[in-house]
Amino acid sequence: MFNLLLTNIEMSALINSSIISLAVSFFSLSISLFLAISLSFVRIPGRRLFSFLLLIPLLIPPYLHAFSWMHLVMFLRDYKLLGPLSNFGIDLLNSIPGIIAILTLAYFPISFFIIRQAVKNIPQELIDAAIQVAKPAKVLKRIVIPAILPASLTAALLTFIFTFITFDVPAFLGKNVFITQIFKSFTFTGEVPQALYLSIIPVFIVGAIWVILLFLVGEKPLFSLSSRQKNTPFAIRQPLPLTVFIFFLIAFIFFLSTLLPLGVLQIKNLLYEKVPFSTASSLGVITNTLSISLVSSVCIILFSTFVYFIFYRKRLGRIFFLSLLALPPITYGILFIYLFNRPSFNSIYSTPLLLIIAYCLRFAPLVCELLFTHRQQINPQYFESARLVYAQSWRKPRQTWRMLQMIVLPLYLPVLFLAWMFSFWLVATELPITLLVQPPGFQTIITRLFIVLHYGAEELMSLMTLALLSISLFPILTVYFFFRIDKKNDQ
Amino acid sequence: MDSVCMLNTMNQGKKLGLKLFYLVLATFALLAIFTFSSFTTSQNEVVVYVSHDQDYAQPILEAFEKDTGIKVKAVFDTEASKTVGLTNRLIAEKNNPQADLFWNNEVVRTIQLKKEGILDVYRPRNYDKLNSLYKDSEGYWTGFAARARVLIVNTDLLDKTNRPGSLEDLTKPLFAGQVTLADPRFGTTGSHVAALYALWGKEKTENFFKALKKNGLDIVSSNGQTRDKVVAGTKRIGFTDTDDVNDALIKKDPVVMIYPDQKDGQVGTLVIPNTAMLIKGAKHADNAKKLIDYLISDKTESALAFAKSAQMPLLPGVDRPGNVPSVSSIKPLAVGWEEIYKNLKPAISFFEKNILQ
Repeated sequence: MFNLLLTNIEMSALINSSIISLAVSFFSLSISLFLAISLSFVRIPGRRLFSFLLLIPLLIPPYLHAFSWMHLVMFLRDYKLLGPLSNFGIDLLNSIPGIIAILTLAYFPISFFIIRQAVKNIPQELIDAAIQVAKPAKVLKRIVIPAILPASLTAALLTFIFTFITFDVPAFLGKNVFITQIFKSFTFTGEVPQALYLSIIPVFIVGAIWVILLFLVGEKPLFSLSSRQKNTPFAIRQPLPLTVFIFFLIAFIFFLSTLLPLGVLQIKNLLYEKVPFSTASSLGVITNTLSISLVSSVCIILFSTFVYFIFYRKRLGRIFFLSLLALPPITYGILFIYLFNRPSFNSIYSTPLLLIIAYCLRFAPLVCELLFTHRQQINPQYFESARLVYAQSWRKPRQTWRMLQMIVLPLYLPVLFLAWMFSFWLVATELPITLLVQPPGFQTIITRLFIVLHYGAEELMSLMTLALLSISLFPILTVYFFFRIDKKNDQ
Repeated sequence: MDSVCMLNTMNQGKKLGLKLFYLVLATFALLAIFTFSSFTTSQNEVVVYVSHDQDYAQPILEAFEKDTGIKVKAVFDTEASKTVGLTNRLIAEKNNPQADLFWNNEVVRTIQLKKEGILDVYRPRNYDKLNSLYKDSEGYWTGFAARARVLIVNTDLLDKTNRPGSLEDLTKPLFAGQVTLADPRFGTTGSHVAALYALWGKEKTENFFKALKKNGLDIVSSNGQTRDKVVAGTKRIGFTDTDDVNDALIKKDPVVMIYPDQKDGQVGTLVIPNTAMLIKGAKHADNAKKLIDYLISDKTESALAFAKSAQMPLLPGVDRPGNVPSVSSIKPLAVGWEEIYKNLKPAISFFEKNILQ
């Protein structure tokens, strides 16, 4: 049996996790609001490029962020560049504020992307009317901020979920978090029921927050990855020095979140270790990663579309599925094994099919939410007209298919592409579930990356992150140009 | 509604439908190729779960494949899963085992699997040549290629005269705030603490760790991180394993390895073998037995001794390099693994309540 009440250490771990998650959500939101508004309303050179580049931190394992910062601080200490603050730097990194800073740099792109798209979705007419009677700053305060509030709250909650289920960075920096307690409970067979009970707690917390969120925003779309605006609705004119300052601030954020974690260990590798790239990976591992990410992401889209039409459109279905995102991956993996490891499923269990099914179930809630909010933003007249055109024919199934092909598909294509891209990235960087259900003889870059971690081979880890980045970009760009997903395809 | 806009949308839809059809077709063709080879399982293969580091284990498995022609399909564990990933997987798969054998890099989780009824009895060819400390008396598991729990000391920060020779030295004021240890809830540190519980008894062990905590004991997430902190000079002394220290010695980092408590009257140190075991209900049991025989052999132990992991052969007369001591030259902790396993949960519980908070 297990205790319903948490022990002191479990409560302390839950408090640590909550504080870290809330703080990371808050700071990510702040950075994202600044970035989204600056990149939307200030004429900065390279705006579109920055919008893309600021998503790259999502591909870098948070562990690598922590490693790189630790190496940098130790390097500065060894060469006495920090002076009397040397040991303070290391102590700061090994504290809760240090963990918050690192996870903020790792996860702020989630908030940034959602908020940026929300800004671009504000109706142009609204902005045009407001700008006639008010200054840009007031328009930002009275129109833009309230309009993007639902998306901001969703962005904060998603960042909260991702941070809550992260344990490797807090463990590396010496802090006990709730997921570590769940891991520990799984190590003793007698405590598995306790582990399962602990796993449900974050689901309930997140479920409660979703209920409050949906109550607050009603039927307004929580977020969307498609966008209406292609041009800057209005530009805030400001002194050139301020524009330059904002530009360099954005560049600095990019440097801290992307160039630094990738660069520190690469430089160390070049100067001291000279580890050849060929040792980082192999063709088999790269092929596995590409294949599983590509196939799984397409399957996730197909599965999510099915789930969306059957369950997701009801409010209870939405809350239930979104809350499942907070279930710790280790619990998910173990439940999956119990569910599918049966003789009748043998032909699936020991093949990559099992991984694909696991990814579909794990990431479907995110994709369903994208489809749901996108549907709310489509002009309903399109569907009304289409129904009128196709309703008269006696060949109903064929006409329904034609309506889907001619009308629904083009309207959903942008969100389907973006959802596929997100799914691709999520699958390519997924570790805990992969470790538990990967078939024998199968390995991906991310599992290989964490294996080499044990040897203190941070340089190899950094090289493999670059490999992961390159692999992820290639198919995304290929599909982007194949389907010519561009301004013309948006409504 | 704008009819031109509607017409454009419909035209796009026709082209899009075809493109999407090609994409989905390509995806499922890839899926079929991807999984086809997995569907065609053969009897001449063996599935092994491996907790030992992949870079050391893989050459051994590849050599076995080459020598016997039996295809090896391996699942490796990572530091991130805290060595419990594969154990949990084996327990979850109990009713329909997928693995044929398990190559673990320690013993306590092996005992847990034995208690869970996951293992089957198999005594390999060289079983009788091994010391009873490194094998199961009933034949459920067999040890090979061991490492030991040691102290890693930064030589730039601690000269020879001030270095500790025993675990109990670490409570001295001289080492205040300078000792680091991995979280015992995962990995070999837990086994070490449990072994002390078994040997010293509850009271002495708890007083020792409370004194360490009072002396500023630092807890980190892994043995690798213990090593890294001592190498970086952030701490001067760490508890870790021989293979972690060897990584640093090969890189010529300013550290030295000390086997604690080796003098007369002292308790010795924990020697932790790799363990190989047959899974009950294995689909390729004969091949699994061949692989276990291969692992518990002179050739494998010598290869692991000469590798970066520098692990000590347990079989007599195995060729090893100069930096790898003979296991008989090390005074081991005289406590059985079943006893260590029994004390693991109370040890971890004590640590959680008194040291980690």
